[in-house]
Amino acid sequence: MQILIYGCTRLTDALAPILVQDGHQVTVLDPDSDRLALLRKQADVSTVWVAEPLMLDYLMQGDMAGSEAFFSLTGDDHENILLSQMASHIFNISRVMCHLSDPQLQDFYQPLGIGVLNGGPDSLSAARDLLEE
Amino acid sequence: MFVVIVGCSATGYHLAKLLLVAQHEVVVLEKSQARCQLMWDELGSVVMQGDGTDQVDLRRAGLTRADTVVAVTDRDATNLVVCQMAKLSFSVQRTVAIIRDPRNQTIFRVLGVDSVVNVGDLVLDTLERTVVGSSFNHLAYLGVPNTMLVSITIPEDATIVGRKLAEVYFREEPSDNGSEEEEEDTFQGSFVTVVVRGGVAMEPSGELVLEANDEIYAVTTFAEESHLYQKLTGIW
Repeated sequence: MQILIYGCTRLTDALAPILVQDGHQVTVLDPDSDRLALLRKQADVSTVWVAEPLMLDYLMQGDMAGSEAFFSLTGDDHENILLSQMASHIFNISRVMCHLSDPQLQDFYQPLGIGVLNGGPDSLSAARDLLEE
Repeated sequence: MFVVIVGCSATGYHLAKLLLVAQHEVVVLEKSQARCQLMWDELGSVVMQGDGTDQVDLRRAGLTRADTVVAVTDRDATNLVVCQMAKLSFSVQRTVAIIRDPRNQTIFRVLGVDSVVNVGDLVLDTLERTVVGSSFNHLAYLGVPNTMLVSITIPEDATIVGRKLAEVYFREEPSDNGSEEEEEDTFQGSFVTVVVRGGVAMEPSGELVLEANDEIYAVTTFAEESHLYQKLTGIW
């Protein structure tokens, strides 16, 4: 499955190699080229180095439309909420996951049809469940 | 009306002042303690320290009975969360957000934010006008769908120079016997509202003879704007 991950964070470092092992094609976008280089050493992922304000153009014209799953894993809850809802409501991607560290935001957005990753130990199984649906 | 403003930046501050002067009930929710201290001196107790994306703080600000919530923090993503919470958790009637990135407009509308003020586009329009000095300016988008106010400066070589304003609206078609017959043109939603010449504003009558460098202020629609522009500046 084509998976697009926005944000190269610790959660990405943990998830991406396992998703690659599971046989998925993973692309990771981030403005930090060093982090992307580190991730490439760990796993066979494609990386795209892109920063604001081009990020949104890239997502909209490029990979977001062609992806079967979209993960928003930046360290910024609000940014993740905006982008994952864009992926699901504008690009109609059915498998969307969003990292939220604020428990209140998790409770609020879970019922709205966005897959919420809390960054905890069960994040991996939650991501796998979503991809197997 | 009871309005809760989230974010007390320059925008939030001036909006609060305007609404207070207009006798509305206002609460301004601002996250930064330091900013709140400054604003207490200016606005008094209407400023409340709290996070506009925290349900407890929103409840404290009185969201359960707010008529309108205006999200004016400096981040688009945060403004979206504020509006979604106001709408879904507190059933606030009207949510308003400013956005800085014009590309976010669609998703805000899709997700049910009632009014989106696209600050990015407003700034860009103004900057373009200032820097490039274009002869065709979008001045305002009116409340009517697809309708806007534009200004057009008439160039020296335009056909319309020396002709009556009424001719903008009519198409001249030579008939068989050689005389010219005037027929109504296709403008449905466009009309001239004021003509400015040499710093003087003039009421647009059909008899007004247009000159080069006249500034025409007109209401027009997306469908007709290029036709109107062609009529006022082109050679036909």
